[in-house]
Amino acid sequence: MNGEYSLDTTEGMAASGDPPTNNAVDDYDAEEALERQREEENKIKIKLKSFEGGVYECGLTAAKMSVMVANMLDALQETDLTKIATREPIPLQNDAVTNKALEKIVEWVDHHWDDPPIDPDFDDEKERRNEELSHWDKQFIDIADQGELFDIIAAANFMDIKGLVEVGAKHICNKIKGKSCTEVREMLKIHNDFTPEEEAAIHKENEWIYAKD
Amino acid sequence: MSSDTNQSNSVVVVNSVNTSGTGNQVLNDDVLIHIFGNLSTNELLRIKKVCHQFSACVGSALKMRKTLSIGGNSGDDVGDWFRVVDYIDYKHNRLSAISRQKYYDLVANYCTLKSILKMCPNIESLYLADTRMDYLTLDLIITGCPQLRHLALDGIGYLLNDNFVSNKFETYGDQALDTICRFCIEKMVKKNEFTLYMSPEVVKGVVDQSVAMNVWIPDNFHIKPLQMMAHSQ
Repeated sequence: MNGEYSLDTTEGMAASGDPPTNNAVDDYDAEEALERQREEENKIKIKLKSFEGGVYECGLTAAKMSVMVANMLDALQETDLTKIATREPIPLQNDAVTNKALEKIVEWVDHHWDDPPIDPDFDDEKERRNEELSHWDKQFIDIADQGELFDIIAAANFMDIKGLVEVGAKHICNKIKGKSCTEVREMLKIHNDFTPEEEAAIHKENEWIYAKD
Repeated sequence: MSSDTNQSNSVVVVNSVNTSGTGNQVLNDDVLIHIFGNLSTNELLRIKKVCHQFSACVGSALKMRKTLSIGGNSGDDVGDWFRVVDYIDYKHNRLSAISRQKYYDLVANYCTLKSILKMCPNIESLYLADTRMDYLTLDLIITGCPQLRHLALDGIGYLLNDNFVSNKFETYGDQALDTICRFCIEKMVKKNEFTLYMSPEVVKGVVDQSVAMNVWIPDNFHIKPLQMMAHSQ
């Protein structure tokens, strides 16, 4: 039996033959059970309704990555989770949640639902900023239509899906990096709403910044 | 794969308005501040002038910054904004070719430093590498960063040698370092915890000298080697 565990768990392998302690087995079992429960729950499909009325199906665990959806589900106080599937679609009342955006969001949570949760204790400002996006995320977020991209980020922000907002934020950051103000305006299609006087005032206030432009 | 396509197609797209709906806003402030959280301080300062919304959100993002460095290699580095002074390091490279070193001149760019610190009032860790300072700038740093808990002075080990002390880099000598410590202690006594990080070879000297000179080091004031900065940041 011990041999069995040492094959299954990394702890067992690291200990190279030493039987794992009971605690380790318990932790492992608990983790495994939780994992299985999440997996089971994700087989239950719930329906989400975009602002435009489109209805999209999504695994329960995946949908709960949206803190907003998770709260709404909690508020239902439904003990029989399978009943959630047959309920009315959950409406997402924000104009950023377009059909296209919701479709992409569902795609993202379906891919990421079994990600390990982010540990808030290790949420280091700098490290988080330097971390690269995964290849999958890069491809996912590389959307030519800027309106659609912004809708997805705004919708993810509205639905409170931290991981996805982060992906969008990093993507836009990569696009902004190294660009001048004019280039940023061109790229994001923003028009300069400063009056010449205001601009001159900012310029003067922080002359050292723009001396190099 | 999981969409109810029939239904979604039946709803004719109403959006097209919503991205440009509110005039110039491409994204709401929340999201924009979040995006800016991923940009370096350097980048933020540069894009401030894009539009009103950017300017405001850059301001908010900078207020949330906790770390800043001048002359380091991190993304937070704002060294670009300071005049760089070249000097030639003869003494330490006798065996190799003469090497050029760069110095960030905080003394000559006092106003720049002042406005950066003003924009980032919540800095907790400040990392200064290869910088030229005097007491005015040190005072500015300590009074300008009320939340400061970690201050690192890197690359000043070289300057301990008479060579450069006499060579216009009048700031750091053994004595200067000692005075920096005294200065920090004096200004920081009221604070909870404060750590000054310096090159390992300097730390011992400074501590020994302080003890020898009977400088009182309060319990909440620490002097540690630079390597330990990583753990605290």
